[in-house]
Amino acid sequence: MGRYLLGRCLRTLVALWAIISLTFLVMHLIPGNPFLAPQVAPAIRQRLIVRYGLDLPLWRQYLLYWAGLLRGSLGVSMVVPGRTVREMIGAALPVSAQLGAEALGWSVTLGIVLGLLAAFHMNRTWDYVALAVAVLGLSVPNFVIAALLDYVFAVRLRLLPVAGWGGPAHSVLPAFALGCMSLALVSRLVRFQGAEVLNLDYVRTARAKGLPWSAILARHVLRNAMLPVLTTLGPLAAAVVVGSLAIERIFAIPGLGSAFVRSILDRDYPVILGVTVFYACVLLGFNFLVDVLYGVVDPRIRLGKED
Amino acid sequence: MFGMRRPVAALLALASALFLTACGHGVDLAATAVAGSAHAVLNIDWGTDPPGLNPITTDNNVSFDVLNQVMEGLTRLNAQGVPQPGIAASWGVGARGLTYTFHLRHALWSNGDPVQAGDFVYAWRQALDPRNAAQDASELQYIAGASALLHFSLPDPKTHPTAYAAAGTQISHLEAALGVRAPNPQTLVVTLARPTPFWLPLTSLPVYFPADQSRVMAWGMGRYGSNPQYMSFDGPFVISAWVHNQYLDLKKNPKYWDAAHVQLAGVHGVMVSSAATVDNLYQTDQLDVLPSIPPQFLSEYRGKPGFHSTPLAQVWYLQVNVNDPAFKNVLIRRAFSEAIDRAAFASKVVPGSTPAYALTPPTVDYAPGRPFSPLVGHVLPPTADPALARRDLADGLKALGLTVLPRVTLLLPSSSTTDLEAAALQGMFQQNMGVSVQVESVDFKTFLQLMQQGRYSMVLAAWGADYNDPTTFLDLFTAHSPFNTIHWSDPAYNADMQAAQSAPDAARRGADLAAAEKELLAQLPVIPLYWPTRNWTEQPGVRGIVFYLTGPDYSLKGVTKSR
Repeated sequence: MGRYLLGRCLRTLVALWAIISLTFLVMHLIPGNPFLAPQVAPAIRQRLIVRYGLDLPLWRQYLLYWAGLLRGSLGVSMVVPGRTVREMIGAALPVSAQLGAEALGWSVTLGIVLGLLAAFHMNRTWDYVALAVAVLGLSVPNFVIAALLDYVFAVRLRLLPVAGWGGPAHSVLPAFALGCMSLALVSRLVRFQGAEVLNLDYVRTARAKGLPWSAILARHVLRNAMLPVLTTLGPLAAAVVVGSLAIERIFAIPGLGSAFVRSILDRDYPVILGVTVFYACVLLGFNFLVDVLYGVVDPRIRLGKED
Repeated sequence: MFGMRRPVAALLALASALFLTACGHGVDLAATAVAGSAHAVLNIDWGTDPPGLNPITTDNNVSFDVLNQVMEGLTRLNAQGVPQPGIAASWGVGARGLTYTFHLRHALWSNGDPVQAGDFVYAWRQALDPRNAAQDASELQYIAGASALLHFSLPDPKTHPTAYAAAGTQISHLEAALGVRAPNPQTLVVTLARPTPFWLPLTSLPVYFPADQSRVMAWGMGRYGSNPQYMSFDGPFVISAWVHNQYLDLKKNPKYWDAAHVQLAGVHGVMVSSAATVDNLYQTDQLDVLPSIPPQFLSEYRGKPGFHSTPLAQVWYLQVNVNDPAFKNVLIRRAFSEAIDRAAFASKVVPGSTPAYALTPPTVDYAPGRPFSPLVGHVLPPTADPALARRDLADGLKALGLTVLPRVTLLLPSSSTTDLEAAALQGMFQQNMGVSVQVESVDFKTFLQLMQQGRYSMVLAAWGADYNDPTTFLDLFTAHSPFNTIHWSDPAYNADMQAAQSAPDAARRGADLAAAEKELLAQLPVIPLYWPTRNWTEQPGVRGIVFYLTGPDYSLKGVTKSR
């Protein structure tokens, strides 16, 4: 087990190193730099480039970045003087996490309910309603839904805020728009899996022996139908994070996505790297935990027979 | 890497997200975000989070907009762009136009300290100190001795630490020799390098603002302006709250010398960058002013009460690569200019703008109250001349010994409006000249880099006036200009610009500058397209916002709101 853990740990660290190195290289390959602006005289721009060490050979900048990283520092923004990358991530993270969790929370719950309804009422009204919802959710981009919702509920009906962040009302529209795609996916998965299970002999037997629908639903259908949902939760969570960029812009939400996009447009190198390192650590950390859990669950792995 | 492990990883991700939500110390903005209700609080959109509010080092437009409300220099411009007394109650100009003596009023910083002449001397020296790398320092170049500091070659502290340390003494000497002195706390004497008729209005710009010397020295230049607690204000408002990427609020500064004329209790400024969202906020009365209506929403506002359209001091043009195998020939440059239907472009592609018949916009004066545009006249025709364009193109190719035009690329910074403009130009070149132009629409930083490297045939670019004088545009193309990115050098042009610099009077100077612009328009290293307008709107009951042609966009000092 110890050797297994050590191997996994090394693998995670190598992956982290590769992600940081590649991002560093690619980021410096894109044309431009943080101080390139039409109104800044070349002599002054050169001074800034020297001050922030961008005149050094790339390999030295790379080593300097690692030196900072190993001391636990993500650096200071080159565009916002004096603001540390840690501060910027710290401010944006709770916002992104809340938005993502709300979006996934409502959409997965409703998706399961809708899927089950459709499975029980195959080829009847509920099934068609679920189908229509799924087609809309998958085919209409979330920013279109967001703009439409904003117009109807905030501009016309004035029930909810147009934009901004803070109060409970502020996250209703963005979380709804962000969750539409996962609602569609989850409802389809549950519907097909549920329909399959409902046709199986043991369900028919359960029904025949007089078990109430609620028990069949809880014990047989739901449990089986949940499996593919669990499998897709990973990609769904990723899609929600990626998909939040447009939503954050429309609703003026100060999340991690908008900070990341802005840093790329500004060529704010430390922020680009910082956010990437953060994302990578979260993902790799989870993977490592999963690996450990697999080791606990599967005795073969514990004996050292990896892969 | 991910394979079958997804379900567990995903559950962990979800759980952690929920956990973080539960632990996050979210700031409840509901109270402040419900806009438009509090009496005499103006609701505006800054656009984005200002990247720092240090007036000495910043060159960011949003920072300028905020700083202009909370700070004040020697002067403040009125709606006509004429300097009005600010921290300076009055001033006198020496006989040769070289020396300005400012008499400061008894103004206070927001912390109660007096604003003294030394605060200006300190701030200007800091802005010119090469170690601070102040991005807008070029605006101070007119002061005697500034040029030596601007062009000071600073040793790299990483490779030459001793030389860098030694440079400090040299810099101190240069700063001491700078043409700005404070003979007593209420008097500031400024000496210019040479008579500069357009200099006085520059004293209203952020880089000319004073700095509360003792405080700023205690905080350090790096921390100054990073946070309201590291700022002293001498303007109509102070910053009452700043939550990054959400809002920046102002409240009236009771210590401001002219507080009696500040009607607003405060300003609530959100940071919304999406044009559609800004439009929605205004439609639902959550914004009181739209300083710049996005072009795609213009028709919605035009003709409604509160809508205004005022000219800007900007010009949009095609910058031509004079080192390009085809565009080095003036006939080919002329052909492309002749193929452009500027009237159609201005009315259909950029509604509300004026077709450019020269380079310098008509809003610019060559001397106070004397517009420059009539001296140059209508040089460029409003409509296209396809026959002439084709003939000039053919003649140009013949002169170059070419049979076909090499590939022409049009480089531009990508946006919904610029992409539309490029498509329209592409169509005009195709239709009027039979030339197909390849459009390269890239992000802004890539655009600047490619432009710097000269990797283009034509660039869609714009320039806005830094100050109210034709040289703010014409200096771009002189041989010595640091902003001359096109490497075009024309002896006749340089001679005219040189003559203007030593002209004995304003009329002579105007004539020399006009001659230079005519030469430019004959050679066409840039092909002017249009002069944009500011389309803006304010809610009923709101009035008094002053827009500027140069520097920060506006002043909210005199705004009243009666709703």
